[in-house]
This record gives sequence, C-alpha cells and structure tokens, in this order.
Amino acid sequence: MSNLHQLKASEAREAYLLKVTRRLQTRLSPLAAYEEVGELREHLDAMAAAYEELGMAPETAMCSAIAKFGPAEKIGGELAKVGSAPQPGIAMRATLFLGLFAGQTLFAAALIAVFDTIHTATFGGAATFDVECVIGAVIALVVSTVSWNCPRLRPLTAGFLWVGVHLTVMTYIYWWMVSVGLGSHVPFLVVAHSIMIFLLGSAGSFLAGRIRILLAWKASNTSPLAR
Amino acid sequence: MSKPNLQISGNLLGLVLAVLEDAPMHGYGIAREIEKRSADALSFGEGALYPALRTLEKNGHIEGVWDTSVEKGPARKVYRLTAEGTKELARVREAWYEYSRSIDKVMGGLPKAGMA
Repeated sequence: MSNLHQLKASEAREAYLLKVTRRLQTRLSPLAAYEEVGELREHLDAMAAAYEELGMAPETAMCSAIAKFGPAEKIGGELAKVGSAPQPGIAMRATLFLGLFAGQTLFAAALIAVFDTIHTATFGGAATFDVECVIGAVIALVVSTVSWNCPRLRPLTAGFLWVGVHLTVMTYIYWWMVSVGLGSHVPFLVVAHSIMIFLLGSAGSFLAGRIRILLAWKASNTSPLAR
Repeated sequence: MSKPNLQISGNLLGLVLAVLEDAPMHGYGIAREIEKRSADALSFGEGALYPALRTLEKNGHIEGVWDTSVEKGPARKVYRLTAEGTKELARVREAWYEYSRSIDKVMGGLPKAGMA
C-alpha cells in the first residue's frame, strides 16, 4: 500500500515537472533543462519528506509540496527567461534577418529574370523594364498573401511585401527616368536599386536586432519576481 | 494572535543574499532558512527561489557548485556568495534600511498597547 502511495506521489511530481520542462525546452539547452528540473525534483522531494515526517501520507505530502512550490508554468517560464542567454540568440536572429533580406534581393532579381526568360521565349524579345517590375511586384504580393495564410511561412510575409513594394517603387523610378530622357541608364538603376534594397533591409534588421538586444538586457537585469 | 502572512516578491533576491552570507546552502536549505529567520511570517512559492537564484548567478552575485559528495540521493547544487554578492548585499541592506525607516516614520513606530 505504501509503495502505491509512493508511486502516486512520484507520478504527481513528474507530471508537475513535465509542465516546467515544457517551458524550459523552448529556451534552454537539454542539459541545462535537465539540471534545472533535477534541482526542482530534489527540492520537492525534500519538502514532501518533511511533510511526511509531520504524519502526512506520501501522496498528500507531495501534493502539499507542489502546492507550496507554486504554478509550474510560471516557474518554468521565469526559469526559461532568466536561463537563456539573450546575446547569442539575438545575434543569430539579426544574422538571419540579414540573410533574409539578402535573399529577398536575389528573389527580386530572380523574379525579373524568370519573367524575362518567359517573355523572350513567348514573344521573341525582352520585356520593358517596367513590365518586368510590375509582374515581379504582383508575384511578390501574391506570394506574401499565401505566406501570411500559411503559419509556417508567416514570418517571411514582411520580406515578400518588402520585395513587392520596392519593385513597385522601381517601376515609378523607371517611368520618371524615361520621362526625363534617362531611359538608357536603366541597368544602372537596377544595380543601384538592388544595392538600396539590401542596404535598407540590412540597416532595418540591424536596428531591429539592436533594439531587441537592449530589451533583452533590460529584461534580464530586472528581478523575475518584481516583474 | 495569528501570524502575519507577508509576501516577499521583489525582496527575494536580497533575502537569498542575506541567507547565503552565513554559509553556502542548496535551494531547499535557503527556503527553510528564510522561513526560520522570519519565524514563518514570510511566505513565498518556493519554486520562485530558482529564477531568483539564476538571476543572482547571472549577475555574478552567487555561484552554484554541484556537490557530488552527497551519500544518499542525487548531487545537489550548493550556492555561495561571491565578493560581488557581498557588495550587492551591503547595497541592498542599506536601501532596505532607508526604505524601512521611511515606512516607520509614516506608520509611527511600534503598535500601541492593546491594539494588537
């Protein structure tokens, strides 16, 4: 009978610790999460043993220990926040953003190239630059709508929108260049605009990264219990 | 008269530093020591101790070492105050006394006889 009570107490403890682990797994390394949970387990066992000495049954003692320990989700969340190292994570995110924007520049160029190839194969000549841009922008906007509706691709939506908006802007710049007699400088426009997309995107993502780093530092310097 | 049940959120970091000033301890020991020193008047979810310990570790105020010499059961993580932690404790104490004196001035000192 006593063994059955012990088993139920262990089950209750592990169910509680599992809830803590779920929160930890998102932010801590498996080893760090394992160590955290091991420490909590040891604390809960010591509390339960103390309650048992007061005459409680093992199961009741463990439940009382768990109740006094506090909500598992909250503790797991706080441990995950404090335990994760913000700087490498943020640096990685900033790098990813930079890569993403560089990828978008290539994506815009690829859209134009694909359309040009199709146009040449179908009509036997290259399309004018503004037509290429408009088609590219439409494709980018359609892709952004699809990505917004697909949860896994949703984080990329802003990137596709960025490409769509800039191809549209490029169309207007092209029209202006033609109207003032600079139509022969379009290749220069394409290169300059690609560089601009990359630089603006990089600067934006760098700034976003810095802001996130500052916010993470501010959060890590605040007591988790005072928040 | 029943014991007051005072919440310690916001002061837990300072309390942990104060408890570790006397001797290195593990999490459960720290919780018991806070309970003992306050004569059970201070209450807190003991799980809240661990985020506080991580914060103190991260700030360099304490350091945790795994004690593998435990004969019965798994290894325990024992925490001790660092030199930085001692300085921080002095700063926290000073701030607390200042705060406490200000509250005393408003409250008017000890309760009058017969009020308790």
